[in-house]
Amino acid sequence: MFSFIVRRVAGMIPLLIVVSIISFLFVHLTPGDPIRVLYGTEISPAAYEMLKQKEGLNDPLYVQYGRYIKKIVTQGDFGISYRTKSNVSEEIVRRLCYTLVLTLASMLWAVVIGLAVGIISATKRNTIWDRLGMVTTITALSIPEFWFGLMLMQIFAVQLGWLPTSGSGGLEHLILPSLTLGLGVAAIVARFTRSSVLDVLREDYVRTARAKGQRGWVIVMTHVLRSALIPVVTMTGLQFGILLGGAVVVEQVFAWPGLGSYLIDSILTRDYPVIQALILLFSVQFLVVNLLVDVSYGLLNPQIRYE
Amino acid sequence: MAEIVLDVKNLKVNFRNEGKEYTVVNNISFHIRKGETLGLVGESGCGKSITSLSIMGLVPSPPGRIVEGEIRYNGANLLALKEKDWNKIRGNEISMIFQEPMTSLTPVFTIGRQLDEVIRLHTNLSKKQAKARSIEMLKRVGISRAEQIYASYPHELSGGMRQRVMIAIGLACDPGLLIADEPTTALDVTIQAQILDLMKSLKAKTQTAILFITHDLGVVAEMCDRVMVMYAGEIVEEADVDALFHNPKHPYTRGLLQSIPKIEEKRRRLYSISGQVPAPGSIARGCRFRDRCPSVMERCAKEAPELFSIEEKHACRCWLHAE
Repeated sequence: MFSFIVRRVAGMIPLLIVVSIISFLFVHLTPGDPIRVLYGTEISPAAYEMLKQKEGLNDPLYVQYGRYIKKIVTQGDFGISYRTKSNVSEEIVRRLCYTLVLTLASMLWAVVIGLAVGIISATKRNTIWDRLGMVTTITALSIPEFWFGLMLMQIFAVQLGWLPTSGSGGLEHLILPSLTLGLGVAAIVARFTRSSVLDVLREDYVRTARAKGQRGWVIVMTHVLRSALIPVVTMTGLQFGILLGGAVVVEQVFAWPGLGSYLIDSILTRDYPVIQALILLFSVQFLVVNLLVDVSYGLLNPQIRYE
Repeated sequence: MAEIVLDVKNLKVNFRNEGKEYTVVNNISFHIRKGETLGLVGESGCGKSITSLSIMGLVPSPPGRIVEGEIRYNGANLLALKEKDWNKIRGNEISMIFQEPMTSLTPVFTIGRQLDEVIRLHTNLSKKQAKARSIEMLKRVGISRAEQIYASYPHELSGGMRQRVMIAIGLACDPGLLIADEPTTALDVTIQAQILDLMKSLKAKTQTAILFITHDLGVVAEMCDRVMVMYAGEIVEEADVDALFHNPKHPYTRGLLQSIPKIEEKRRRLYSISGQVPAPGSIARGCRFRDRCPSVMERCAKEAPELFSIEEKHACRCWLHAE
């Protein structure tokens, strides 16, 4: 197991190099001039040249790239934001905490609601509960996030006044954005769980468990769920990775200071160091989540061995 | 004579398919005494498995439905039970071994956990005591490295080993009746012989009654005291095992026995009963076997024969034996 993880982590390195080159090139080769963005369009040509020289933008691309990577590896330094003049790493860490909290809270909603709806729909197949569950999930999948967020805000914040409309702070600030973000994932989890549980319910070993005199719901929660969860975990992990990449819309709607809104702001101002750092960060997050999913397979399914 | 453990009377099971109901088990009656092994023989789809699932209360419903009849276990009618009380019977009083050892064990749980489960459900043993009992059961079904197997997962075991584990699970709570639904069909011939030997020796030790379902007449001769032959949802012949093999009455039974290849004969083609099993619901009147019967008479198309008693303990559903 340990050597499996070590090998997987080592395998990530070439991937990250490729990602860093692509993100570096992608940003540098697209039009848009950071000097003009940073210092305005009215600066004199001489000042312009001087600033460009100072930021190192006149060097060949591979020199710029080398400088960039060296700083990251040796100092964990992603540079200074053009826009805020603050350290990119510090800002990212601060915002990453917000995004993590929001994502984890959303996944909690998604897993609790999704599993419950999926299991009930599968075990009460073709009843009113199943139909209701499946119609609800389709609806949840079809609703645009921003609309659902605004509706929640209208009802629970504006009309009932139970929760704050936006911003960050205590737990009460977390409820509406995480619910908004978790809704779609909950619907996907519910549908995956339903079909997976239905598949497993047809297995011979479920009949064996019944022939042993075990109660129906105990069989579902133990024998069935343990096997049925494997595909659900894959899908949930994937969704988790996507959500970590910054919930752009939801963060905008609820003014949540996470990575999504940071990314938007940085793209709009062509804040190269931030964009590059975020692209790299999202890749790392995705790889780590995938690794966690792979490791969790082994905990669920004893037939998987890490060799 | 030993007391009757299981008494099935006029059992009728229907299945619903595309809006129509078909009778797949029609008016079956039989009993099993303590310590007795009753064979239930028939082709695929004749209703053997549904009969056994009815006794376990496990007929998939819908589409299945027990329409009428009684299933009495030690005098109590099982069909009147609530699900909660069924669960006290299953695995405890009546247990079942299935055809497919490869898929009948939960792949994500250890053998030990699956054995402990049935023991803990029906006894008050502690975790530790249950484990001791599980290991003892594994040893009893001829598994030598019981402690090691206890901690193994099903995929680490061969088919024969898994079927031994299934038997251990089936017998863990000393049931009064064991239903074995084609327990050797999915196994290699050598393993089949081992499993049959095991079941025979366990049978000799305990007084468990066995309902042995199979389509293999050789297995019947080996294992059973009495035999019922089923055809298209009905019992067509019932007799002691010697009587059935030496003096078969029903044309279907004769056909089945004739189709067993004999080692001393050098025939090119094996004998087979011509035609096919009728689809459920396709025969409304008369004998269900008449289209394939070599001794078919006029009467067979008009009236369905009853199960006529020929001698003591030998009955046959055929107009040839109507007197």
